[in-house]
Amino acid sequence: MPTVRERLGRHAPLFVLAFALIFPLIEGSLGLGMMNPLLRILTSVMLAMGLNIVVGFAGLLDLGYVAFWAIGAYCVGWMASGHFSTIKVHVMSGLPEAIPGIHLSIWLIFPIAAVLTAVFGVLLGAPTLRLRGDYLAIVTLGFGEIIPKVFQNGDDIGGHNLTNGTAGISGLDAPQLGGATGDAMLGLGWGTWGPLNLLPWYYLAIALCVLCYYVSVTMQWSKLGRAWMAIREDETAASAMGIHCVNAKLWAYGIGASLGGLAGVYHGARIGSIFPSSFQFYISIAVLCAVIIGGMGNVWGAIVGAFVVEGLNFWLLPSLTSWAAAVGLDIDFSSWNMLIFGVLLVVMMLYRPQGIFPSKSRKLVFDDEPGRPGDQHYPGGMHGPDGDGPHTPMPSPPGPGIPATPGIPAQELADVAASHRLAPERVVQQPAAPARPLPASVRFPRYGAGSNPFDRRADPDIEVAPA
Amino acid sequence: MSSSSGQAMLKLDAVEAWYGSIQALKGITLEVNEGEIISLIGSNGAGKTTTMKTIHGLMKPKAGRIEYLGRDTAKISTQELVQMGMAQSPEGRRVFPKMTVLENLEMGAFQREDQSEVASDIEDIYEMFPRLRERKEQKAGLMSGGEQQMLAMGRALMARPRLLLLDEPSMGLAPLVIQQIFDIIVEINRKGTTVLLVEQNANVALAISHRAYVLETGTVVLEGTGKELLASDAVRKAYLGE
Amino acid sequence: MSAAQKQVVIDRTGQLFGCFVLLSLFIVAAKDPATFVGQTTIGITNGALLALIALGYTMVYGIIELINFAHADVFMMGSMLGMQLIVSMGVSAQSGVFAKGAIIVVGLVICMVACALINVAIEKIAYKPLRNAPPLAPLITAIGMSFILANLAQKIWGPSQVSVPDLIGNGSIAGVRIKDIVVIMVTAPLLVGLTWFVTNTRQGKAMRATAQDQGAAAIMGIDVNRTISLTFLLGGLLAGASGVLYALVNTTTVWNAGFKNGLFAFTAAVLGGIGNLRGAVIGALLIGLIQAYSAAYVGDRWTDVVIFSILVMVLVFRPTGLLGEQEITRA
Repeated sequence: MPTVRERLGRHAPLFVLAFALIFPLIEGSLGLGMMNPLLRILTSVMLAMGLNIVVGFAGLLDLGYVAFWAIGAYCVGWMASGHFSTIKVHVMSGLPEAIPGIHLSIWLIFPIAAVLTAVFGVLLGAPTLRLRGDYLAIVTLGFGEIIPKVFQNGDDIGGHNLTNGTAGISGLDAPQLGGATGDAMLGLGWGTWGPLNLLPWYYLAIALCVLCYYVSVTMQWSKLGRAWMAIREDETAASAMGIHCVNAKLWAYGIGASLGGLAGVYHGARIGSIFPSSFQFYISIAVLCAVIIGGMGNVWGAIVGAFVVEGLNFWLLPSLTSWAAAVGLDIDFSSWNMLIFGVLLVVMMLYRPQGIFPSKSRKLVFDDEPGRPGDQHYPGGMHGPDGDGPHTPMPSPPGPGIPATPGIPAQELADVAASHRLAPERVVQQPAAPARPLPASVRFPRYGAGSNPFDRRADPDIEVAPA
Repeated sequence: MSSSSGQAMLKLDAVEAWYGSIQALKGITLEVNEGEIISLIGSNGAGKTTTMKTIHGLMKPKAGRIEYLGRDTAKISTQELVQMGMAQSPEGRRVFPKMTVLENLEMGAFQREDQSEVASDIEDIYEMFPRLRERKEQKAGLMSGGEQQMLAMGRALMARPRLLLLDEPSMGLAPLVIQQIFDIIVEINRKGTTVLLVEQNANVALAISHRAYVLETGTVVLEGTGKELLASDAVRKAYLGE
Repeated sequence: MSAAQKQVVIDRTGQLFGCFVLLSLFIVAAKDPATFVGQTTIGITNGALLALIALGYTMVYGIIELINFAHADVFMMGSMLGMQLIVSMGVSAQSGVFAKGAIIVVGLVICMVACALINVAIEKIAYKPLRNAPPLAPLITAIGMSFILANLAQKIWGPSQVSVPDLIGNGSIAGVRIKDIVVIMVTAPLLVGLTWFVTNTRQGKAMRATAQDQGAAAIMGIDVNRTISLTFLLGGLLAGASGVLYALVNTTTVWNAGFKNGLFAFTAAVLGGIGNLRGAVIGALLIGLIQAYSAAYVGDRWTDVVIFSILVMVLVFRPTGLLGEQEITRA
């Protein structure tokens, strides 16, 4: 029987969701004034979940994720404003037909932008697939720099004003839930989504976060998700097992990008105007740090990481500044944000490199890493008895002969099982859990048999997968 | 053997070593006397290579004591051990792939102070391994496994070692090449270098060893002279496939 | 289509593209030779400055496979310290030639040493403890150190552009700007010295060995940690020189000057084949030229886009960079 704790654990996401749904009541009654920063943080939560697919699941280091965010934002800029003033296109916009420009309902823009950013993700991915990880990082970084530049310079592309340059696109349509009348009929009084009425934005953000979460968790334990993780751990081995690495990576890029695009649409629509200068490298890094601080490859890690990183940026530091001002101190904490952030990153990596919530498989990596920090007499390059390369991310456990020598492995397996708090009853009790088992031919050679970290049963996270 | 323990060149006493949370050596005790060829044999994962690394200061033992030339090595770095005449040809050969054969040999003499004699020593290595002379300008990474093994051994010899650590010199080589390599090991030993040899190929190793230790899952389970072990039923069954 | 055929197609496309670029350059050069020559010298100067930064990236990457993000900010610190030194010593554009020359030489030396020390300190604090951690961990601390340095500079020297006294002036000798001459006079000996050091000295050999196989290097009796520190020291020296020259040539610097220049320099290192010293210099000169030509012929605001597009294309057509060696796998 599952213990109370396990039952609680299984339903934790629902508790979190319930809390999120009633949070505005609490916030409103206490008058915390946290709504604005919170909306920005929630945008980053979506971004972090999207990037987690690319970096955390598939292990493709992307330093230019902000590009997809920007593309998403420009989608809503183009499709829900008077920017293209020479034409009049209205689709379910709820606005008078006479207003010039393209005006699509935001509910249409979301899927359009998701597809468009996915296409861009694949376009970026396709030429970079042959590259090693570090080159990939620099190419994505370049992409993240090019896209905002193109938007910035896009006011005169062959004489066409595509992006309105540095002035950006402003005056975006406010979304409506089935038009003004629809809003009224629902009795929500949400006819005016805007800076004074943040509640609808909040619930939209929550809905999008749930969507991103659903996509992430579903993908993680799908056949594709397993392929990503296999690629992340060892691409050669993965392709030897018959995984089509190119396709799998392209899917990771595409899906990750489309989540970034959704976040971009949301952000653009909420701010109501789009400036190319707001899509800086800094944002890519902040989101990457959220994923890493939270614990790469773990969806909840990405969520918590985004709260930590962006909570610091958009809530804690500004609040500290105003609190300091209240007691007569003139310290602008926000202007120290990069330093604080930098120190946080360094300290985090030195003392808890696996993140706040490491994914189970990565936890294994870090726990068994030979030669912990400070071990000066253990130069890299001699990992494990096999003398793996200097940067082998996953050194073999020192019992290469797991089947041959029964002594070490038994102990090791016990340790692994213990570290997973793997309750045998649960395994038995859930015969349906490994519904999509790995093909029998698939082996994860760096782990001993039975310690496969990708096994659904081994990871409590899977319990939260929507049925 | 207690009589000779006083002059033992290398002595391990209940040495334990760990990789993270996993114990690889569970108390290794052995000794190597000047002039001997000593083999450590055992299957994969028995702790042979870990023992080598621990001896050479590349890993720190968690417990136990290692003595080399009468000194406790706990505070001695690998660099100093190399200066004190301990050289290793590591498992997997580990030649510098983008350096030429000549440069690799020069790297072997990195810690030597008598750099003037390096050139003549390189000639000696070429005498021992004529193949290396033919290939001296070739990038080491482009050579065959056997040639790389010769280079790795030659590189270790360039340090003018008193104690030569050889980790799996037969790995991945054709039987004929293995025979050549082992002939050279005997020759090196005859010229006065003590050899500590780690091998999975128990047959060949025991045949040339004065004494040998059998390792299993991090402990010494058997020891004796090479002949004794070759004759031992347990060894024959476990390692010689009989 | 087999993989080999695909590679041939890719190579041919790359060559065609290269020919097209060269041809267009030739046409514009023929149209207006003066502009072309002027842009070429500017390009070489920019390239030389980038080369000094790119070498730091490529050496560190070569030895510990880390993209040292903080390197760009070490360069920025060099430019800031140089500026500070010139201003505090009261040297200005009006000072005598001797005072100006002396401050340039002294400033270069001081800033090079300071940057070398900063770089070594960064390595000790942020990278060394993570020697055996997965590669992403030191990359993240590198970003962290970069942010710390940038924020410090922003706090010390303010958030806007800081002007640097124009010590060199805008004169020219035989049509070549004195600024370009100074840059080349400082850069060339540094590059030659570095090459000599790495190929001929004992420590240089230790660096190369460590870069190829850390474990084997340790077995040879090489102090791997000290060798890595030395690499950071050399990288810091070059970055410091580059920073001071940058401040002098542009007569302005800013707390985030490192970001874009660092990015270009890293691009240069990748373009040349990362880990390859000669490649980094050639890559940097190419990037400098591309920067100058695209500013003149495509439009300044498209420079970044052009550079990164070329980077992406080179990596697609030749992923190991222009001079990158084919991976030698151990047999």
